Amino acid sequence: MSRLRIPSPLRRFTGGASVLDITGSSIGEVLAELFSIHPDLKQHILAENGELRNFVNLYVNGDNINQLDGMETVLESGADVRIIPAIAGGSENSLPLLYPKEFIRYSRHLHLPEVGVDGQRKLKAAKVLIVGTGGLGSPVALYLTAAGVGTIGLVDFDVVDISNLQRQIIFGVSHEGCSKVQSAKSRLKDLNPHVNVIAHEIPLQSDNALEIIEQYDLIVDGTDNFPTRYLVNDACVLLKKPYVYGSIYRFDGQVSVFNYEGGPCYRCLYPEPPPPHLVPSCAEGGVLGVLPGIIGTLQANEALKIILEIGQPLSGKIMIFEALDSEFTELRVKRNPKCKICGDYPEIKQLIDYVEFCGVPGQLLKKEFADITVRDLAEKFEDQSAFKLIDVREEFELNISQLPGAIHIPTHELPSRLDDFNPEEEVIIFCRTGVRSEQVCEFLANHQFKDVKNLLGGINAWAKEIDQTLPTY
Amino acid sequence: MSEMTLRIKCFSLVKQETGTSEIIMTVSEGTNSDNFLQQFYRLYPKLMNLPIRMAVNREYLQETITLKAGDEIALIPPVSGG
Repeated sequence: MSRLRIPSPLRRFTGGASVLDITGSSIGEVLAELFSIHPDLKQHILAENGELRNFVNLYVNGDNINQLDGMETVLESGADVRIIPAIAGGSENSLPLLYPKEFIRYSRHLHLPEVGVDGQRKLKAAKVLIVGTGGLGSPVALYLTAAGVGTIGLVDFDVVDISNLQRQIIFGVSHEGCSKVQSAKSRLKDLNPHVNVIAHEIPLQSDNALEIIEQYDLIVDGTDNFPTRYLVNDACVLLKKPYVYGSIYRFDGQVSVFNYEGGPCYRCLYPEPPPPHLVPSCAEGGVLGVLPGIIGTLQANEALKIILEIGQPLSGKIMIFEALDSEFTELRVKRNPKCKICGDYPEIKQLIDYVEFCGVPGQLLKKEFADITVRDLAEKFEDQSAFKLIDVREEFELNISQLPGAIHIPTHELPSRLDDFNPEEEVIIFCRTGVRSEQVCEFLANHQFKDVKNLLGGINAWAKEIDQTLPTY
Repeated sequence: MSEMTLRIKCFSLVKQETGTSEIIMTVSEGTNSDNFLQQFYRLYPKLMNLPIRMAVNREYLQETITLKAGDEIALIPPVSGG
């Protein structure tokens, strides 16, 4: 037996009764019983398809059945069941209502006149896609979830690595080797069960970007590579979605809002990407762990302002933060009327091949050097064949791991040391993972070195496959 | 021809290459933004292929302008980390 409370507007269908004791072990059964006693009520509570009408909410012991098991929600004896109709009127009535528990959760927001109940409902209605669940995506996802953004999409196809934990604060040790989006989703659901988290466990590409981005109101760009940045920009321009840009390198970060109400886009700022390898990634150049936290929370701030329609979004401005000087610099940027995608006469009308556009290695460049695996290198050591092994890592990295017989020349010193080598002899180059060394191989091949080889996977691959006493980093 | 000094603010890779966040450069009076960038690339040839964007007095340039004495120039290369 449950106690069902009838709201005053519906009491004329129950002969004035405000409380009814009704049998039934689930919400569905209680409603069926109710309609058999008071058939006129049915059309006011259920739509023709048998589901609750939009403006009717059912609560069991203070929880909305949408948060429980819907019509299947099981009722204990003596359960308190309430029918709560939405109050009509006001311009925001198409926005979702807040559940009683949300009023407590968001009480600090509700105290702000700039947010209030209406603002909180805007947040609940909002759908935000976060591209990249890494250093920037972590704080963005955590803060937007805590703030009550109703739907959050996460795009990433990577798995959690221990080296992520220095800055990607959404993950823990228990997530090592697990999918980033699934790990993040479980953390976010724990933080705020009222938020619908959608995991897109795929790389964002030209053939799926429009379909995914279309489902959201606002995009937050937290990717770590140029092809995806241009893809996000172009897709947002084509779909007329604003997006919050953030980018980091070593101790510096940038934030802006692009494609917002006629403001500039990323291509207005950088029409063309830099040549491949010229701008190191965080994996190669390093990054201070707290920096993505600072830049990511600034991005979350911009996202909240746009959703709430308060304050001044960072559109038409780039904010640069320099951690070592604790200095913020704001630079103004205008929409470029000649921009190839958002200009007055756009040339780009559909998504292109962004990997090709950014000239990412291995796709277009003809390689004038060879690759060598760590196993082949180990054999060469055994055969005692003659070759030069060059370690192009930075000084500090030698403290972590070293290969026997290697000559140490950091990448930036190599151009001035070419005369130390005979361009006819075999040269094998290595770094941490094989990315910097690939760049060096290209450079040497362009300087008439005849037999240049890149150690695939770098010294980390050596440490994993050949000499497990060496640490990887 | 007389000369003028410019204050250059260096960001990310430019800062890394020059080793400082701010430098003062002396150029001929009437130098325009393109000439300036070419002179800067000659001083730091490793940056040559980097598409550096330039802001003058805190506004990104959309076209070539003539620089004035005391202009504050910011050199901002793209960064992609996340």
